[in-house]
Amino acid sequence: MRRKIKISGIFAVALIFSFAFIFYACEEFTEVGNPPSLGVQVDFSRVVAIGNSLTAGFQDGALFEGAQQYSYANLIVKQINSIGGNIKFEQPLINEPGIGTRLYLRSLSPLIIEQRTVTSSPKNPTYPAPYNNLAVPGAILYDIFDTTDYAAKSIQRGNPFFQIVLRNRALGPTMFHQAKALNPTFVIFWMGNNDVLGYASSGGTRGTDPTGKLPTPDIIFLSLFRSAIDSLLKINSTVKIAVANIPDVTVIPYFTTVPWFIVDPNTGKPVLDQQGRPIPLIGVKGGTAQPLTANDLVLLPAMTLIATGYGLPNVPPFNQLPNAGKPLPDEVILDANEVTIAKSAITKFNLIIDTVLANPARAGRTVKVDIYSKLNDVKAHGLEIAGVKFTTSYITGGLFSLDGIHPSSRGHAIVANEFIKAINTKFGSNIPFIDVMSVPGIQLPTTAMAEGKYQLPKVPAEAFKNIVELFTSR
Amino acid sequence: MRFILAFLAIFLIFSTNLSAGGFQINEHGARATGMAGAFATSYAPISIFYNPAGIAYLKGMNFSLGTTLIFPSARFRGPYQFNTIQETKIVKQVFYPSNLYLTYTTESGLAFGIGVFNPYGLGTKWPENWVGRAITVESDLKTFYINPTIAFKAFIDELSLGVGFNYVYSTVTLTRKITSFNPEVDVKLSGSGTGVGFNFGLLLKLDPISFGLSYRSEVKVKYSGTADFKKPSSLDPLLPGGNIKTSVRMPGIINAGLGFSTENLTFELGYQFTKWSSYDVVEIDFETETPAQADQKLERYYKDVSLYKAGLEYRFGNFALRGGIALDQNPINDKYVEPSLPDSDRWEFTFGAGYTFGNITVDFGYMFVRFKQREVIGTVVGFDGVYNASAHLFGINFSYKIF
Repeated sequence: MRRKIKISGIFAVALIFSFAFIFYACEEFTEVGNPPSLGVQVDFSRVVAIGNSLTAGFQDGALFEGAQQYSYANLIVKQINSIGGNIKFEQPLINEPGIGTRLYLRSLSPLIIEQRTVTSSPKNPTYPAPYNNLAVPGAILYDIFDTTDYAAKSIQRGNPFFQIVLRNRALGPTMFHQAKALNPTFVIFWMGNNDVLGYASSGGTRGTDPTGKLPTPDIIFLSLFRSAIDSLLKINSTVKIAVANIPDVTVIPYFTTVPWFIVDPNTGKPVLDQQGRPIPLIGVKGGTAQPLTANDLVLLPAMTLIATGYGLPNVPPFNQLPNAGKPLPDEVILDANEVTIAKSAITKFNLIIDTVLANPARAGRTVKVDIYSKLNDVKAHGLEIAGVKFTTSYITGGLFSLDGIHPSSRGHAIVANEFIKAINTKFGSNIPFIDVMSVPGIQLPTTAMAEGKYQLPKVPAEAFKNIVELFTSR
Repeated sequence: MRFILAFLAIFLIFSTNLSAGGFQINEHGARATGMAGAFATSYAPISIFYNPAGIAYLKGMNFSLGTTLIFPSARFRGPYQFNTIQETKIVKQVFYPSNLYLTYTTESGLAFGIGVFNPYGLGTKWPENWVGRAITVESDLKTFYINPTIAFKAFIDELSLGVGFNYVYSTVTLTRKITSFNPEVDVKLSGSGTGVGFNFGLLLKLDPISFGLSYRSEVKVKYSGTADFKKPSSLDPLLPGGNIKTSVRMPGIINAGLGFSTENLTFELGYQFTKWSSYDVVEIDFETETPAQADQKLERYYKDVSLYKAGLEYRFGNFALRGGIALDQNPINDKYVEPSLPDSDRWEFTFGAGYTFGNITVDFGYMFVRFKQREVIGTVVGFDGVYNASAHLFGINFSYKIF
């Protein structure tokens, strides 16, 4: 009897548990997700990008190879090629240090940004076909079909990029014709930003409408946008187009970084009056100097002006500054009325984009990339990716380059991922997104700078002026 | 320009996660390991950990020394944020939480003992340049409990009570990268701290049925240490590093068992409740504050969890064979799961054997931990994907009956 118990006891221990063990002693593992795929709906063999400075990869106030290689269009192509695509995507690369007014971060604390006017040469100006990335910094919607000679246009606009990107009428008389010459199977399209940014970034002093004072009229925008999309769709019967819409000005740090009130440079906190309210800056609104309100936007170049006294009352301690008592000029204030005009233009433009793309004649071959909503969401909640939080803040937010308007390299990666997401959803592909952190972050200065007297950033106003010129000169 | 730089503070030093979570270790004696930890109604020197009332039933002076070799493996597929299921595996490491017990029991059942063990611990190490490096590269937490204990027979021979004091020493090291900048910045937070707590236990033996209950209190460990940044000099004013302070409350544990024992056989059903909800918010205090290096409040909000276990021991002559099974819940809500602690609910399967010759007993215990595959979506760190993990544990204890 004892013997029996012993055997059954050993059995209980050795058998039952080993039984369970044998059947269960491996890591639980099941396949997840879908394999990467280009799908069958889109032929990704010939890709063309049409756009402005955003699509060109303009960053830090200039166009240069180190930024162009991270243009969202180029990043999309790289992702497609990473899973078997074979796209040749020629960009009008500019040798370092680039063309424009390039900004360099010299110190983070205090914030010091240096500007340099740079005029490098294009890297491959004799490329025998149109570039695949036909985006021209400064281009407005109208420029897609504008047949003005490129050299003449570059001089007329004070914008060298028409000549650099489009080069020669022999390659095609317009941006559209050069795109058509490549017989694209897929088009990346992001245009229209400058049709409102030109107005907004000049503080509402200039514009792209026939009077040169306002954003492009929506009736013109509608006609230009519709014919652009229709013309592209007619290039061949299968070409597909991804179209991004226009972000709000209030998500762009150029418009949101400088507050409307006086900030103590030593504490970074508002200077308060006796009632505990912030003291407004003084700026020119509608032709007269007035105190600013919370609904007015102070543009980034105002930082430098404020540091010399502009916008501050001519009383101690501000009267030590040379320009105390002078109002901030109209060009650096997008006042409440002008904000309304800009926002209304953006709303109308995006509605036009929605309506045109939703038309059954176009819907099957186009996809909208909703950058407007994405950036509003980032502004409201931030964007947490793999342990890094992106915001719409100037520099530290990680999304925008030093000029405060154009995306940083990582900003481009995030835009590229939005395009890919939209393409995957619409066209049944499964293209992996870019590892945003594999793209370089904020480039740190290589040498430490001595601390300056003011905690205010030293951002040269002229640097930003040149960016505005890019948008508004016509 | 503080109003710009202040934004850095939110996410620069720590993403939103410090580390750690279900960083509990229950294997502090190979004999109990072989029985899936269902050891609240048995008695041995290791009872100081499992149920201190047990040592009242020992005889004379006993000593036990052991360790558990832990071989974890884990992998992550993702992140979905990049529409990828690319796999990354943790770097192979071996951990060895160890234990030491000394007991003396008088004829009357009054017993004194001391135990040293590591009931909370954590170690994960991901490749230096992996996709989640902004969240964690390496996390290492160790706790050393020194636990003097008294136990005695209460009123009747069948009931014993035990009570102990816990002095806790702990070290922690966390490394990650700040990837916002080019070049990236290496972050290392390290520190050590101490805390105190208590424990008690009860063992009622109404042969063949017995009932055991033990409680180990929450211990608040106050850490002090340093933050070190490997960075370009241009970040010196923003990230000077320096001294940091924080505290972590190691959760309280209730452990109960219902045992059935004959001359040769012991069977126990166990239940353990860990009050992880004490691990809610970790506050980190920097001695030197800058806009980018400010005090932090990290939200953890773990939930209380249960562990169900069953263990069996069969003795014949000088030999003993053991087996066990346990279902262990993890305390982390999906949205807080991150790779420094790839936790999930798990099954544990154990085997064990013991051999006694003279005054010496050697025990072996083996455990296989099978983590459920866990897919997390909507994580606060923006790192959604799938975790798979498993672990092999090998425990060994040498026990010596001194007299």
